[in-house]
Amino acid sequence: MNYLIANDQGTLTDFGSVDEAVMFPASHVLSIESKTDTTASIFAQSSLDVDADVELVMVHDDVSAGATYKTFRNLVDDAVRAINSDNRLGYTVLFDVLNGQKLDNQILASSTVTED
Amino acid sequence: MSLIKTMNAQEKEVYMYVAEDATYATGNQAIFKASDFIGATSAGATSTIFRFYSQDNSRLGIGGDPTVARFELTHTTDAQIEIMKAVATAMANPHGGFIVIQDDLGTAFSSDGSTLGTAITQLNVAPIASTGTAVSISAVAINT
Repeated sequence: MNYLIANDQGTLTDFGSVDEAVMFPASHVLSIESKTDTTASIFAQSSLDVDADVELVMVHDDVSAGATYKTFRNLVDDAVRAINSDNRLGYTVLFDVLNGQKLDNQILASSTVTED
Repeated sequence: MSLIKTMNAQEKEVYMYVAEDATYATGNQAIFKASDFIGATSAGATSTIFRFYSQDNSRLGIGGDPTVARFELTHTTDAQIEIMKAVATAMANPHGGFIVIQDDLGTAFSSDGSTLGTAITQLNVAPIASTGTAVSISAVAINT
């Protein structure tokens, strides 16, 4: 089993609230959706309430612009590759604002984690 | 002949042991299975919660939401991500096995009042990536 980690805090000392950093099994991913021209969301089952979800909002380049119209599709490819990866460490970081880790076609700024 | 698959996450199970106080009172120790893991989240500057499907029949969710069991680790300030990574690596062991996540056994296990044990963990937690600060776990709280 591979576990997925995401963190939306950019400053170490800002940690302190619920749903800033989350981890869940790769098998708990529910969907990947385009939400706006510049954001895509990965939804996973929430651990706080199994009826609810964790939403990872990932910012990307504007798909309404000719030069970047494929960025959502490319970001989905990045996400699926990360979700299905067989990392020997047992986890894959989807994005970590603090440590500058992200998917290739993602923009870290304003990417968020919300657990309902 | 068809076989019923009884584990939904991995063939060999990882069992994680936690004990939340020095007296080993009833209900203060628990073992969680990696295949029951639902998710983890930061819960404060010094704590991270790990949630699992409950071991009793309430996990079936009949008549309401399934109940969730959990343990909460108290650790070095701002080390949530490093703690998550260490637990993930432990849970992902393909050979299965048993690991002590946190055992708070302290001074109370001695008939003469002397110290016999100390809090231990078998997790290998890396230093905080952005600062190099060493990470330790100081306590665990169980809710099953």
